Amino acid sequence: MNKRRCLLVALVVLMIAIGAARWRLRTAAPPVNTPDRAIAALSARSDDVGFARALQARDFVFPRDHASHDDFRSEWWYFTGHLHDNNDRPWGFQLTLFRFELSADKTLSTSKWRTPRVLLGHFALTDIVGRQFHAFERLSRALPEIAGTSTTPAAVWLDDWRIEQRGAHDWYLHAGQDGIEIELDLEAASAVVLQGEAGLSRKSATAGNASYYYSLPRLSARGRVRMADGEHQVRGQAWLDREWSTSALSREQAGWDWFAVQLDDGGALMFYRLRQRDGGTAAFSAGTYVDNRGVQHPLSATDVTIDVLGEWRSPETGRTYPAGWRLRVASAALDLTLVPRLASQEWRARFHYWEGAVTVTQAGQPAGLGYVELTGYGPR
Amino acid sequence: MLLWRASMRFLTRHPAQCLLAISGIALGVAIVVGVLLTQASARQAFDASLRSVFGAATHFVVAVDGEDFDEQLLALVRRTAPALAPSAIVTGTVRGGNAEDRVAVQVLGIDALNLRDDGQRGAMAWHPFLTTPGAMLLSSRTAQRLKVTRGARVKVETEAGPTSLLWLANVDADASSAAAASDDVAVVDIASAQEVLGKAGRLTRIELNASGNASAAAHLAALARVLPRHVQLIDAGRQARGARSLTDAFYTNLDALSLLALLVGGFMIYNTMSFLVMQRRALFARLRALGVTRAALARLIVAEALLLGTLGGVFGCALGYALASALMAPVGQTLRDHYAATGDGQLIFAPTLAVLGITLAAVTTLLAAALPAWSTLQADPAHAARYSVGADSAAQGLRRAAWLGLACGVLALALLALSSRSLYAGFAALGATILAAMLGVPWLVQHALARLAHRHARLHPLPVRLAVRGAARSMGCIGMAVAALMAATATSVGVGLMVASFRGAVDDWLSQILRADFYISPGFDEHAPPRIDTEFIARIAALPEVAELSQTRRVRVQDGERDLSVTAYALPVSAQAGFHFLAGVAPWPAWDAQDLAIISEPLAYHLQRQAGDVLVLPTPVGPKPFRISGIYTDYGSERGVVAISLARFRHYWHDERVHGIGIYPHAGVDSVALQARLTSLLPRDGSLAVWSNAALKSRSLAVFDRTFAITRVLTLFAAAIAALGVFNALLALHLERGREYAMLLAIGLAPGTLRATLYLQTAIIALLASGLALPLGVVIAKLLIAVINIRSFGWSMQLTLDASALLMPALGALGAALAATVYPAERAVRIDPATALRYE
Repeated sequence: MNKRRCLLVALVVLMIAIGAARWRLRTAAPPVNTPDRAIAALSARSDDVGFARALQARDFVFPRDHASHDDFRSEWWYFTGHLHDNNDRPWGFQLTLFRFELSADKTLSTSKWRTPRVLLGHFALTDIVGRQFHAFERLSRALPEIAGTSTTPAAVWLDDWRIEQRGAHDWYLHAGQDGIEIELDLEAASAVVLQGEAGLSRKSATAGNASYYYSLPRLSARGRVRMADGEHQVRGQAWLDREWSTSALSREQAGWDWFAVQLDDGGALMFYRLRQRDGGTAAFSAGTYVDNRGVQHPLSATDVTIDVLGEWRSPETGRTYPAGWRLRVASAALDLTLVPRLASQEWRARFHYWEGAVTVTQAGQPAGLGYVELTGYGPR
Repeated sequence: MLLWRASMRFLTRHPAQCLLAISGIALGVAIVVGVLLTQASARQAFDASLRSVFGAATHFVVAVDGEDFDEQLLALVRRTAPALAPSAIVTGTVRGGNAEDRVAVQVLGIDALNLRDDGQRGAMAWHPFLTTPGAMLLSSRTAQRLKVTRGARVKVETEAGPTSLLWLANVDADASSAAAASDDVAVVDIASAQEVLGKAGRLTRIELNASGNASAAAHLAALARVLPRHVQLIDAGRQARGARSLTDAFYTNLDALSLLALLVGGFMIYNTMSFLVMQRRALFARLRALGVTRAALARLIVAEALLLGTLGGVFGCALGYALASALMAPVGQTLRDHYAATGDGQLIFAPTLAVLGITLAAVTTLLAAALPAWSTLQADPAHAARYSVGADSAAQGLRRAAWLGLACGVLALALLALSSRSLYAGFAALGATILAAMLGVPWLVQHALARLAHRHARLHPLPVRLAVRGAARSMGCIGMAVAALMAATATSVGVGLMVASFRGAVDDWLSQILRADFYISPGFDEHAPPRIDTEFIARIAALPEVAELSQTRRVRVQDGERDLSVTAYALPVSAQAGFHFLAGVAPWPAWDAQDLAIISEPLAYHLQRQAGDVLVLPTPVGPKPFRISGIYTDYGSERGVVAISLARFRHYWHDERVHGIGIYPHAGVDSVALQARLTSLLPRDGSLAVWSNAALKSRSLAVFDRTFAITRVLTLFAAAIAALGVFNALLALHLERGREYAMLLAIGLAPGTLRATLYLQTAIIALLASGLALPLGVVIAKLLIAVINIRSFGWSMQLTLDASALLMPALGALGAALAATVYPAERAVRIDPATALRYE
């Protein structure tokens, strides 16, 4: 009887202790943090009122269209490429500057920080020999001393990162951080390719859910790469994608796979596959094949067959990406195999995505070089 | 099983004693748990407010003069050290609320775009935050104080004039996001901050985050090389640590008070438990005689102690929580008043604290029961059965305690002799002194009373004789309770005397230092920027009523590891006389001509500098040596202050603005009219106010009183525990003596005489306890003033014997003791002697 009473007291004490612990746990639950909430807020959460939209084909005028189109919500200058030094040591690089407008309103303010314009920079250098992927991100509002765009010549800058148009279609690039740096002069080696319907690239059936999109698929590069082991004089070839729009993906699209291939025979292939949430390929997936005579052939979703050959799981983020593809374009007699030059080319900043250099072979023989971008892949 | 039943029966048949034992334990534990909980929560709120103000930054770029600087510098910092994630911050103060209830809120302007995903500043709807001018995040408590509803705008006053802010979202959804705890902070986007505060193009600081960056040192060094001279790179950790170490003294004081309370509570628990055991000496003896082993009895006592201790602990934790809720407000207020912290914080009751409280109670009770149990079990059963209270062993116990007390006294002296700056050693010495007195007093009292009874064997009248003998004989039983009462009373006296002396010193100092009839200043906001320019000063000086002006300018400088407060003075001769120098000489003849400094007493203590030393101050034109002319009395800042000439300040800092001016009118000027006239000249934004000499003084003393409110509450609590302890002990004593009283009544003692005897006995005990408490109280006050205050804050002052601080606690103790006698005395005289004699 008395033992039982003692037990009862002990139980009550225990219950109080447990209750207190649970209460503490409840009050200390951490907030849910999504890694890319800032950008999600920037690009998706605001309405489109006041922005221009890509509704119909337009006349492209260069070099004016190399510069910023401020009345669209977002825009990017997207350079990727392959470099090598005199000893044929290879590198891949990516330099992208994004422009976002938070709102179309131009509120008058004494503060320069009131600007709705935001610039985001991504610079990556893939050291294929050293098996290293160096990636750096910059973000700032458009403050005159720090970040902005200009028209003549067309230029975008963010701190000391700079993309500047030098000739009709020639460019100067500079970016660096923590001892990793590139400085390149790019000379156009091909004509401008207007993607989609004469530059109007539809992303879904909704009118205006489209962008203006052109590429310079081949730019010959020369300049320098600096790394911890010193400076390297380099040559190579680059690809420029330019795109501006107000509306991005529609809700049912999960992400995209983007392929850019520079073929050794002088041709080029760009194709993006918009992936549905259910895993299927969206009908608005599209691309362009430029043959070695410079003739452009638009590609629709059904023109290209993609088979995934492998997967890579990021040990840092747990996301699983496809790694290795077979790309078949029957109409162009292309049957290409794309293999990442380094598995780990994953961006782990505000955005998580994979963007990396790939080798291209056809029938076992080297056929060119490429870049692949994979977005919207989650942990599995 | 039989034993258990005997134990349970005893406990259930003495519910009052049981209840008293449990309540005694509960009170002792409550105060410890309450103070620990308050502290942990306040500390957490303080850290959170530091974090919310400083974010996850490890380093800052700030202007040398502590002012805002040109935002163009951000470009340089971003290019030089992009890896350190530079982030721009603009801060300032706005005022809102009603006319009668003004609320100052710190505006924290952050570059919301650059937030890193460390969860430090919480997650929320960024887009409207970035694009809506004046959109702010508030805790709901701050929103209440500002009288704003969610989604609505509220009018506020800023340095730049009236404007409005919009409460976009609240940030107190959970306690782990730092902004949650930051009361009185409005988080806004940096664009809004610049607009609202009129700081377009200016930044308050640039935050850097070097954590987790392998080459951080190289980046920081590179940055330090390129920064222009008017800004500097400082370590945020150092700043935060500095702010935290300042509050350490405050927390140590709280700790010490709570330990004192535990000491008092522990004595009381000991008393209660020993009584529970002693009372059953005869029963235990009988059980022993019946063949129950010592071990079985020991187990029983241990089990009882654990049961009572645990129950007391559980109630104590609950009571401690209530106490902490009551203490949070004054603690938060003190932190706000003195440490520029924000937020009252929320009580965070960790299960570990409950476990600690209950364990503390159980262990203390167990220890308290161990000693009497041991002595009871050691005794010869035959002997113990005959005498209900072992007078001999009690006397022996008192002697032993007295020796222990002597040892404590020696320890206290040794601690004081061997340490010179350690606050912990100071508190240890204080604790040892109190312990020494507590251990020595029962023996002393018994000895004195026995002497008295022996020498005046024929003491008249009878109640006096009975009372003296009774009191002397009871010391073994209730000695510890008496000692606890004495210690608590003495502590109340000591703390009261210290506070009174301190207040007197501050009062004197304020009367000395506040020489002007009126002051114009932003009030009590230590962080307000200087708002008074030369034009305004000239306008005031030109008033025909004004004879002279004094001017004050404050600035913060970074001197190596420390943040130094520098005050620059321009003083008329009559104001100079207000400074009292403890060492060195008055600098006034060469004040404006040479680089002289005077430093306040706390700073001299902290920096260990003397008059004649040189103090190098970083100025915008490089470090400059200032010779310390003297050390002056100042109770205004426990961090300490360096005072230099305003003329020298303007020479080096190239800044004409000041924080405050003092107005010395001509003789015979109508002060009411002058105050009205001065008020009419103030800027309209409410950033400056006119203070009369008396108003400023009473405001200052009000802050002082608020600071010591907690101290008073805690000493009162300790005294209440002690009073309850005495009540408990006396009640138990009288209940146990029931048979004796019955006998006295039976042999013809008049009930009135018995009643008088009992009250007299109590009065003798209480008078002795409080009488001894007075000298001990003075000793405690002396220790608090000469050791604790100096070692905590660096302030010295004279001990003044304030009559009410001295006598009120003693009278209170006497009253409590007499009140404790009412019930047992009335019960004793009403009892039927025959029944009592038969059944007891």
